[in-house]
Amino acid sequence: MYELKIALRQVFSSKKQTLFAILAVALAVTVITVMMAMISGFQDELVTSSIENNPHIVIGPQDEKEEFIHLYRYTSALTSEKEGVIAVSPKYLGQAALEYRDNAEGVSFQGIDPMAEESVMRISEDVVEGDLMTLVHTRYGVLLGDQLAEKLEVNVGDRVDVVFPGSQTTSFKVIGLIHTGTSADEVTAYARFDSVQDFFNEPGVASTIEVRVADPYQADIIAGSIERETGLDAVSWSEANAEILSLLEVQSILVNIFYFLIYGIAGFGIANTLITIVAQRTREIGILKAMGTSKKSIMFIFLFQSMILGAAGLVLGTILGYITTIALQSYEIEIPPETYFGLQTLPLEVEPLNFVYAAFFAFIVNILSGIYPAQKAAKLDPVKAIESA
Amino acid sequence: MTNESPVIELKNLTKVYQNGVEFRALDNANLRIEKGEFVAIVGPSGSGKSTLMHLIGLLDSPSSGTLLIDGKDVTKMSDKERSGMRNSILGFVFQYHHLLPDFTALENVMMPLLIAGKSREKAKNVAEELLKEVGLEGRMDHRPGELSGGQNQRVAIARALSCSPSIVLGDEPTGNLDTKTGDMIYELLRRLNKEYNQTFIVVTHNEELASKADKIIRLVDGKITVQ
Repeated sequence: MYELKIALRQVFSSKKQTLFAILAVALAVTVITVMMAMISGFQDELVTSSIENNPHIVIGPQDEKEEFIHLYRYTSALTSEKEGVIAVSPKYLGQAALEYRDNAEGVSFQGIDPMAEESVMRISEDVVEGDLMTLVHTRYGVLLGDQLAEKLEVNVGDRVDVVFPGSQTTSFKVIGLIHTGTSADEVTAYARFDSVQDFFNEPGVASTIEVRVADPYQADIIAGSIERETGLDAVSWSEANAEILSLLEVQSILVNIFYFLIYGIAGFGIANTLITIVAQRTREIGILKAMGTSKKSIMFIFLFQSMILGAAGLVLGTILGYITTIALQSYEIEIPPETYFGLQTLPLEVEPLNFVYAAFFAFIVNILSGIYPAQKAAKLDPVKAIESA
Repeated sequence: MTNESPVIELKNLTKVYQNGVEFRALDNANLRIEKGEFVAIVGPSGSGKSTLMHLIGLLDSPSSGTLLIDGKDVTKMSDKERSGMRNSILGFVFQYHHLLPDFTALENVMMPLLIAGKSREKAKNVAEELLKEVGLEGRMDHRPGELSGGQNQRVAIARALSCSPSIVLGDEPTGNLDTKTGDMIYELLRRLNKEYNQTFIVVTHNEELASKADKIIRLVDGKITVQ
């Protein structure tokens, strides 16, 4: 392989050009690997938080005219029998006002069975003061979102009045505070299921039934089968978050265009370097031809050069990309929780496959950008090439 | 010997450059060069000496006519076949040495052998032998930048001979050297010619050097006169 030997010699004898071309590729690969880590980390985080912060399936009334599920006990039992279902939790959702001294706030007054809700939503993880299970034996107890409590200026142990037109104003004791890091903290009040039913004078009905499944990615299928069997409306987390998920798709298209442009720039850098090398080596190319080097071999000499530049660049780039990703990961960037769905730091994920992709495409781009200069070299007229000074 | 077919035979070989105006760089050239001859091509500049060299050297293609090398019509060959012939049958020495600057003298001489697909070991042995022959045994690992003009030209000659070509072409091989070094190089070429019985074709301005050749071809306005 004398072609490779010549390629190596030529590449490493023009050190500055070589260095800059390698840096161009390395930089492109670095930027792309870091971006990939950010984006896949962000998407993963978003999907995980969608799965964790929402019920996997929410069963609701048949159509919009109906307000309630009437046979919720039967439906709950039927659903919990289904394969892949871990837990079900019927819920009563109502709007009411909470009053404490001179403060009043509109709230989403939610009636839950603490045990069932815990097994579906794991809400005790979000309880920052008090204990969820106190609700089991406290008929008039309520857990408030911490933001809500702050606005009402109540503390655990205080009593608040729940007010709704047509309902008997009832006093509830604050037994705990909840912090989820989302806007729900400003409006949520949890009380016992039967207490809320009684308060709204709607015994025997539920607004929704929440379902937890073993494999969140099976939620769509299970939701479909619940709909068929009960005739009720069942919405999976992916259906409920369809907008976010389609936003992620749009985002990945944009990001891919961005990657394409970055690779394009790096590719032009390589092509430019090689065109310069070809121009500088014109006479040598002529001599090589006079010595019997075929057009094909001349092409190989310059394609090898672009591969050498590319390979060096992508190795350097993946190393730099990895270091940058790790560095950014350990550096916790505070972002306002409202902006990023409760994320507190930038989620970066080191996905080995991403590095493989980035490196692979960088290499392809390098070969492609080597083709034009290599052809240019191969097509040189040996007489003119030798006579060029 | 004269009954043997010639190494090179030109039949009505013509090269026309169309550069706005038609320029007949070589006009109906007919020529036979026998094996082992040392031929000098002389003529004023622009007379077509280089064009003739480039055509014989398969670096350029004629506009019309036939060129036979070793009895084979080379005008109808593919790039691959022509490259192969340049490698195995032809050796070039240019006015300027045109060595590859990134390679040592030894590597430069090895290069045509490597292009021919010979093993490194074989190439190295041949190259070392040839560099000794041209008197550069102590300079093998020097790069062209570290050698004098005469030394580089000797490396270039060794390179031209590395694949044992049947034809060696010299385009003013001494033109860039002082008279003394030039004479030395010329003597070297003449000696190698006799030693290996290779055909040498040398373009030169120098009438005195030309007079030492077996045959002188004079070119005037693209037309040949053989002496």
